[in-house]
Amino acid sequence: MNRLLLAFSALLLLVTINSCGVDDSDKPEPTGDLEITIVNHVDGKDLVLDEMIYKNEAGNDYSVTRWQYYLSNFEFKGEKCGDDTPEASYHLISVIDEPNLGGLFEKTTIIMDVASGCYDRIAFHVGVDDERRKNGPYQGDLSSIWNMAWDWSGDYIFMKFEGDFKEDSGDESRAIYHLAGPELYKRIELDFAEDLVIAGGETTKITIYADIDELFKNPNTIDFNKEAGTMQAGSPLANKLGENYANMFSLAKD
Amino acid sequence: MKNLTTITALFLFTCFLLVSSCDGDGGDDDPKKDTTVYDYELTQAFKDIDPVFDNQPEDNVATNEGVELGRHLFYDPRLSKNNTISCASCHKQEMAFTDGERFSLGFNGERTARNSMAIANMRWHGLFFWDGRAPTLEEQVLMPIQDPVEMGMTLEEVEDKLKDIDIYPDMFESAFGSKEITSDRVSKALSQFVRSIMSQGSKYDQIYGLPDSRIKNIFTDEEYLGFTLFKTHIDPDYGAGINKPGTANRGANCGDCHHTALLTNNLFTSNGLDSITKDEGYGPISGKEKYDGTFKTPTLRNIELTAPYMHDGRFQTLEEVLDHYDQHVQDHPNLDIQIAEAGNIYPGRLDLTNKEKNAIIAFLKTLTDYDLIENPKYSNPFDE
Repeated sequence: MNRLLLAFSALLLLVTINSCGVDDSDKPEPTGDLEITIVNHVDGKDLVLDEMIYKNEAGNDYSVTRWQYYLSNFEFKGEKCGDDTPEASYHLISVIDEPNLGGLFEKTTIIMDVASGCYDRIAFHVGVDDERRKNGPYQGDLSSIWNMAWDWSGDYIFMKFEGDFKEDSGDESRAIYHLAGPELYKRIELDFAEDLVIAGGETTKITIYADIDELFKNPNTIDFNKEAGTMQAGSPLANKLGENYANMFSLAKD
Repeated sequence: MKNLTTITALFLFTCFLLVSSCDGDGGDDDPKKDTTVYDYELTQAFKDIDPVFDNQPEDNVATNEGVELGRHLFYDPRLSKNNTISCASCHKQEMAFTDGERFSLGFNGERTARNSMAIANMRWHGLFFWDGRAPTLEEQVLMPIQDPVEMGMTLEEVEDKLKDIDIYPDMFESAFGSKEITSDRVSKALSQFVRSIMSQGSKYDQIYGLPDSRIKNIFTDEEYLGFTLFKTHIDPDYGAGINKPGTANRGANCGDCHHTALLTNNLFTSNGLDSITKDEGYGPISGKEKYDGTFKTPTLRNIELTAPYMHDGRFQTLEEVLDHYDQHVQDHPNLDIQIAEAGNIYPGRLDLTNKEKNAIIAFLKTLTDYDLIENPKYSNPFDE
C-alpha cells in the first residue's frame, strides 16, 4: 500500500511538472520579460484629463483632453554584456476619454522579451517606421480603430495632443497637435543610472517618464495663441514639435 | 486491489484536473451542450480589429440556436403591445436595417424622436443609440421593446406572451438548455442575432487594405477619385493656396471619422448641423458639457440605402449631406475639431467642385453590400 502511494505521488509529481508544458526548467532561459510602465506627466505633475490646471513655457493655461503616441522598435545597449534588439514592435500609449471603452482609458504598459544580460542604455523610437507604414500589417495597436491614422494604409499620427487653453483675450480655445510625417520618426536614447539586469525567465520592471509640457518647451517654445494646431504630416509646426520630442522622455522623475 | 482501483481513478482524475487547468480558456464561455458556436465568417479586416473593441460577452457567445431564436424574436410583432411592431418594422433588411422614415412609427401611431439607425457589424460598436444611452448590446435590444412610443411592453408582459406562443419554449430550450423564458434570455438571443448581422461583402471590402496600385484596377476612375478625396485630410493652415480645384492635394476629410472596416470612429461628436442645439444627444447621458449636442458617428456602410440622413433625418439625399459638409457647417461649441480645423480653404470649408462631389457619392455607393440585403440568414423566418 505504501509503495502504491509512493508510486502515485511520483506519478503525480511527474504530471504536475509536465502538465503546463514547462519541462526544461534545468536549462537557463535565454530571455526575460521586461515590463515598461510609461508615466505621463505634465511639468512633473500627474496627468489629469480635462482640467485647466497646467501652464506652459509660453505662459498659456491649458488642459489635456486626449493624449496618444506610438513608441516602437526598442533597443538595449550594454558595454559589458552586449546589445539586444528585440524584434520590431509598435506600442500605442493612450490616456483618453473613450466612451466606447467605458470612459477613462489608459494603456501605458509595454511588455517585451529581452535577452538575458546587463544594459546601460535603452533606445526606442517615437512613431512608426517607413517599412511598417508602407507595408503593414496594420493590426492591434496599429489598427486605425484607435483614431491614430489618417487613412488605412499607414498614414499614422505619431503623437496626438488635444487640449484647451485660455487665449490672451480670456476665451477658451482648443490646442490640437497631430504630429506625423517620416521626418518625425525619431530615435530616443536614455542612460540607466544603474545597469538594467535581465535575468532569464524572470520579469523586470522599469519606468519611463514622459512629460507632455516638454513638447511645447525646448528647443522650440510654442505659444498656443500663435500656433494653436497642426493636423498635417510634415507641416512646419509639426516639425518644430518633433524637435521637442527628444527632451520629453526620462528614466527618473524630474 | 480495490485500493489500486481507487488510487488509479484518483490519479486519472487528478491528471484530468491538471490538464484542464492549463487550457487557458477559462471554461465559463464553453458553448452549451448540443449548441454549435455561430461562425461569423469574418474577413481579415474584421479579424484585424483590436479585440479590446469586441463587445461579444463571454456569457453570450453566439450559437446557431441562439441566433435563430433571436431572428424569430427580431421579426415577431408579438413583442409589441398590440402585435403590430417588430424590431424589423424600423430595421428592414432591404434598407440595410433602416426604415426610410425621418422618424419611425411606433405601435400606437406615434413617432420616435430620432432616425432609425442602420444595423451592421455591431459586434465592434461601443455605446448604442444616437445618444449612446445603452452601454451594451444586451441592454440596447430590450429598450425599444419597453419604449412607450416604440413597442410599449413591460418585460413581464414579454415573458408571459412568449410562453404561450407554441414555437418558443422549444427554441429557448435549444438555445439555452431549458424551456424557461426570461427577459435575460430574450436579450441574449436578440443580441446574438443582431451581432450576427455582418456587412463585409461590398466593393469597398474588395479594396480594403490593398495598395493603391491594385485599388485602381478594381475601382472606376470616378470611384477612385472619390475614395482619394474621402480619405484625404486637409489642413488649410498648412495647405493654404495649394489645395485649389484641379490640384492633386485636395481632400474631403470624411475618413477622419468614418474609417476602418466599420466606417465609423465610434466617437460622439458634433458635425455642425446647428450652432445652437435643442437635442443635446450624448451630453446629458455622459454628464459632460463637452458632449452637449454630440451624437454617435454612424457607420457609412450601405449609406446609399439608409436615407434620410443624420440623427433627425433632416437630409433626404447624399447630395444634401455633402452640401452640408461642403459649405454649411455651423460653429457649435463642441464642433468636431477635425471638421473645424480642416478644409481646402480656411476656415474649414471644403469647397468641392461638382465633379468631386459626384466622385465622392460614386465612392459611397461602393459601400453598398448586396449580400447583406439579400442573404436569407438575416431575413424574416415567418415568411419561409
